[in-house]
Amino acid sequence: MNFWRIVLRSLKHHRFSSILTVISIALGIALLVAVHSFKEQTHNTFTQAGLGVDAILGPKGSPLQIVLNALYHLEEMPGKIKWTYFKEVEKHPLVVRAIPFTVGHSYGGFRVNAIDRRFLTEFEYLPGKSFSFSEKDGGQGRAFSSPTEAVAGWAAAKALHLKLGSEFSPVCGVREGDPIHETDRLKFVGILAPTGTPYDRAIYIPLETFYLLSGHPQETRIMAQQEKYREISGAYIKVKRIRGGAIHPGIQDLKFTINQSDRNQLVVPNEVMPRLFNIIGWVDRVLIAIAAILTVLSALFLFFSLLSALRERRHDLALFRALGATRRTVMGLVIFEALIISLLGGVLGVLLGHGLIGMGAHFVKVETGVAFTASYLSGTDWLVLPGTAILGFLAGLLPGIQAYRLSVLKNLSPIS
Amino acid sequence: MRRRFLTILLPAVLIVSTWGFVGELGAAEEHHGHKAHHGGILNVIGKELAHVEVRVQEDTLEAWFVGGGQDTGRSVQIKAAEIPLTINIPSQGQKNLVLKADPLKLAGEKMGYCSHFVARADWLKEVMEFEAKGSVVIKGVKEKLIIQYPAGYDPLHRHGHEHQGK
Repeated sequence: MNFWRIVLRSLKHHRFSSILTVISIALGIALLVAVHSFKEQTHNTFTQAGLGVDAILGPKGSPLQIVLNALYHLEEMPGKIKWTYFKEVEKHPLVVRAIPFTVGHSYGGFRVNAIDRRFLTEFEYLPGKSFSFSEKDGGQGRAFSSPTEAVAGWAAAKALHLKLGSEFSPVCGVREGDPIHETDRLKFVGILAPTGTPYDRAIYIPLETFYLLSGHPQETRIMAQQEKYREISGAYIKVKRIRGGAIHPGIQDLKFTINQSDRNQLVVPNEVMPRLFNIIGWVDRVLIAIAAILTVLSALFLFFSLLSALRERRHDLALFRALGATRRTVMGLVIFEALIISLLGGVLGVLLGHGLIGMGAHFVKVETGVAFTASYLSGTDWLVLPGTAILGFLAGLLPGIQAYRLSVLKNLSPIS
Repeated sequence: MRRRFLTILLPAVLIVSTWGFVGELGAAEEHHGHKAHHGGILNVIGKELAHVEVRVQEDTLEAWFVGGGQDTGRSVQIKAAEIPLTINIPSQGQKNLVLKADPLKLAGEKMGYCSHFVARADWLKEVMEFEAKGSVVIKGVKEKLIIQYPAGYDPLHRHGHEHQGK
């Protein structure tokens, strides 16, 4: 009988434990693949893209809090800055573009950011990529042009089933139960095409609208007319470039200078986010450790099931030897069985891992605005199959050696 | 339900898990140590009462008066509008240079309350090393101002402790 046919027959013979082992290996590998893919794609999105912002001008407070709020629509801004100060920074020779914004409102769980119209028309969220309202890109309508108009990010529009012409009243705050500006009705005139960035997860209203919303105290309304009293949450800053498109090193001088002021600071997201990832690296490591433990446990399960199968099959293997099979053939049968199980588990795990990312990608995009793709190949993908093959080989080695040492005479003697 | 699940899962990785570290990160920024924040050379004033960070680019010498010890990220304003320096350049002899106050307006500085000084001279383009001496009233104390470029002046930690640029 053919060697491979015997291996397959053997697998079929104890299919229940084989399938169980394949599934448990697959689960461990799937978790490993998904965690690595999630980690790398998140890291790329949060650090390399920069989201088109070289620096954020904001109030004194935690730089991380400012980045999370200004770019990722999370957390809350620690305070406000003066409009007059923003105008001074905007005039700095290093600053190419400064887009002021004010946060602190929400609708349906999504942040409502009051922002300068140039954000929608001139801002580049990635090099060479501006926001689009074009239907062929997946957008609709146009940028706002009056204080009663609003624009929704793609993910916000999708989650809230917003259409052009839909109206809403912003909530004065970002927490559940915060009061609603009931008498202010703003109309959606545009939906941004998807960008795969957190910008998809917000609603944008004109900056001046913030000061005019009913329910705000008189001093806020005064800010609309009097620039010297006006306050904003912050501003997206784009600075000059040097050769190769790198950020002008003068940004460090500008940061130092602004950081000396009493109420303001300049935060460079590309400095803050890598540090965040260094700090939360333990989350990845814990998840990867869990996946690794699961995979190793699966290998142990494979080892014990092979060992117990070997005990059951001693008589068969001895007979096989008596019929002319060499010791190496018998050992090979056991090891290849282990290899096939582990590789099946590995392949299934890779597919399952990518499937998990694919299934989660849509929800992640709606919830965070961050685009994940199932087809992304992380560094782990290339190591998974050789890794599982080695694991399978190791799991099958000891039972294989036992099969190699099997005594024909002893095992062919009558059992009872 | 799925929304609720993701609302918990994602921030768990990105936010909630970091919440406790937000303050830590902010705090870490305050303890960067002897860092030259402009990429220049730090020179100690007095017994680390303060530092002057010096950067030379082309014909311009910029000087920032910053805090002593680990506090090099904080500017220290002084009243002087000008600081005359005597410069010793190896193999070229002595030259004079006057640092002129250039207030950092975005930091709220003005003449008489200024931490940033600038001097321009053609010979700065060619100079590879020098030692400058002068004096300055800083934090209410009159101190010798010694700048050693590009090594940095640090008599207290001359051995085994170097002030580093970025």
